Amino acid sequence: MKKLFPFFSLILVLVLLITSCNPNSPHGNSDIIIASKDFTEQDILGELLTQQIEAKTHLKVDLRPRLGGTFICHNAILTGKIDAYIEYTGTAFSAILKQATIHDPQIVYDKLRKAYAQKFNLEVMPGLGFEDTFAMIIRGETAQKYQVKTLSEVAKYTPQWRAGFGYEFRERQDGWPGLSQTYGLQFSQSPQIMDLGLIYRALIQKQVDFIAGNSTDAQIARLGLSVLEDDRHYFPPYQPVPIIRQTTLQKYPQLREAIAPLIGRISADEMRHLNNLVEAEMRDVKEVVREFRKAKGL
Amino acid sequence: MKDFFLIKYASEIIEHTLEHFFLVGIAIGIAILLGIPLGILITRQVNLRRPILGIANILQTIPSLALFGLLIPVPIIGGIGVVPAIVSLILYSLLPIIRNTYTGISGVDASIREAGRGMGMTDKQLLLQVEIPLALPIILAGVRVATVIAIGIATIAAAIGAGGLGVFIFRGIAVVNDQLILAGAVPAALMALIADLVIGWLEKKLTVKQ
Amino acid sequence: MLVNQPIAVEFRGVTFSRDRRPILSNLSFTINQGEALVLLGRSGSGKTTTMKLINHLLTPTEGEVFFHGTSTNEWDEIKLRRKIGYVIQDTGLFPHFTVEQNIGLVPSLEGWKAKQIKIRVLELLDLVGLEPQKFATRYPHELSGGQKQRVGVARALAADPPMLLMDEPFAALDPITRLELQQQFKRLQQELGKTVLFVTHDIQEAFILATRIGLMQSGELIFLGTAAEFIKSTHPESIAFLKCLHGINI
Repeated sequence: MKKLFPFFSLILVLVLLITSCNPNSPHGNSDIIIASKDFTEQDILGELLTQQIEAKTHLKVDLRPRLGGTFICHNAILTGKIDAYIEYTGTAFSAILKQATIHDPQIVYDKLRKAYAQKFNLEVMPGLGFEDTFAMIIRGETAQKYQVKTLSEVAKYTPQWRAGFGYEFRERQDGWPGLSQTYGLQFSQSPQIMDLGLIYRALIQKQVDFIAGNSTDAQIARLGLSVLEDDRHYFPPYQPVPIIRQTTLQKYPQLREAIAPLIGRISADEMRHLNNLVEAEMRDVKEVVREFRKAKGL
Repeated sequence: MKDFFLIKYASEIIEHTLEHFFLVGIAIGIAILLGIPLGILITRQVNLRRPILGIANILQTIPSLALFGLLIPVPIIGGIGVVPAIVSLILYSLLPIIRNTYTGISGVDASIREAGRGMGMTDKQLLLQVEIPLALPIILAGVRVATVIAIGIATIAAAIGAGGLGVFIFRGIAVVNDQLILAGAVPAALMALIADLVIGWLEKKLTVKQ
Repeated sequence: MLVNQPIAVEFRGVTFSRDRRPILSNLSFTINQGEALVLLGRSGSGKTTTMKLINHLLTPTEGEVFFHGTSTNEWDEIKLRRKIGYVIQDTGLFPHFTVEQNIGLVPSLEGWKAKQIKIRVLELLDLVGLEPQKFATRYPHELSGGQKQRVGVARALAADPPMLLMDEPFAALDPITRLELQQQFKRLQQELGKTVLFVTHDIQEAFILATRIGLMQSGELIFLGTAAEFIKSTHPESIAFLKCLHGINI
């Protein structure tokens, strides 16, 4: 046993050293930390915010893409682990504040801004210009065959179909639970759950027949898919807005000026095009964003 | 009590537990059908031992999420859903089963093997009547290890749409809901525990006093 | 003397090498039917190797071994072994088989009917001095060393083979049990008229059991003859062994 003592103390020292290094310690040698959620559009918007800030200020940004879903990012910004991320107005309003759906985008934004400032000390900046709402999607041929255009119309066919959702849509009250209630949607079995990145593949390969995608996904046009109209207006408006900690803005007021040129500058078609470049043409996010900023004179 | 996760999600827990059981059951079944013959083969053909054990070993070192991802574009055995999940689980289960079959059979007392051969048993008779029955507890130990590992890895299969108890875990992580995570983790842990106990009991029953 | 008996086994110019090291050199001798030939020698003298050439567990590098007139190279290996009983020091009893199943092994491989096998097993247990009703259903781990080896002998005799190969079968037993088994086995062998090749390094055992003694040294057969002739042998190795015999003064 005596002979093993130096060996064990060496192991102990190594373990202590390794655990005391924390590569995720807030701030390290960068000035602010920006996170984005776990899908392609967010990769792009996160990169856009980062390049914009680094171009217009002397601040150094630590970008944490694919941090997690809505609630993980929200928790992170509340606890100060990150300084900013891009949220969608409807998501913040329904899922985080748990408010009943309102349909006027401006009212939603105003109420959101007020509540976030009061409750969380977070500033909600204005929208980037486009809307990205949940899109309930079926294959083009299915839409043709049954001649369905709205969610109300499709309700009588769904019992023969299988649905596929990402984890967050399945779970959020303003996602699947509320939707199925509002339209009385029933399926042959419980929805197939998977990583959001696989959802279109599942639809095309006919493993599922009905998915929840995003309205700015490029796949919709490219794969000839059909978006069902939310005729009962279940979903709130979803506009992308940068959310920043007030303490961070107080520390670096130059951030406001740096981000301002992005406000209202991106159209839904432009966002779809950017999504397409990254997902379908497999181009590097950083390059795509750099080109976009140049083209827009940002 | 109504808020206790096992009660709240009871019907879904049953559904996903059955899916999980299906994934692991089929995978282990096929791994046994492939692994035991391979294990027997390498006791007969010594020059195949290193390559076969080597490949099985390498398969085990591939991180499970990566293997699922790598199989997505592969035709027939890949894609998303149940098929690539089962294929991956089979690959992970091979090493313990092949290795334990090899160890169990080679561990049969040399004098028993010599007596059998000397009395005129053919290789097949020796294998079926002597080596396999005596090696069975060790082979089962390999199956036990493979099963417990597979139950754990199968939770990740939810990411590629294969269903199972991992669905709860991923849903729970997405919305930071502990109850959901536990609804997936606890039944999976229980399943692993029960498998471990049941197969362990079987091993003991089949162990021959020497 | 059994000089005019037919020949059971013949070695013709047999050499055996492993990894280019010679283990047996130029062995030529015969074993007569019905005799108990005891191969005596130090450890490593080649006696076990010689024995294993008879049931083709090993193959001669040069020369041929004939069993009942046919070369072992031409015999079907499995058929050959089933005609030769095999008893080893560790017994090699199958721990997962009962005594009855162990003894009945070759008969069952040969396709005997279950009833036939059962009768034969009980007969054999009686023959080797084990009470049949008591021992048939026991497992090897419940037996003493001596009892195990009796079962080993019974197993070797089960299909009534004309010859037995025995490799130091009693060496691991206590001296009292050993003597008992040696004497009982001698009687059995003479009664049944089996040809036996018995390997040992114990000269006492050789004298009790042997019709003839074959002394091996470094892979060569340096003496082959009766016990009486062995005592008169002047070869240094014979003398070395005789010195170990209790009750004989040289």
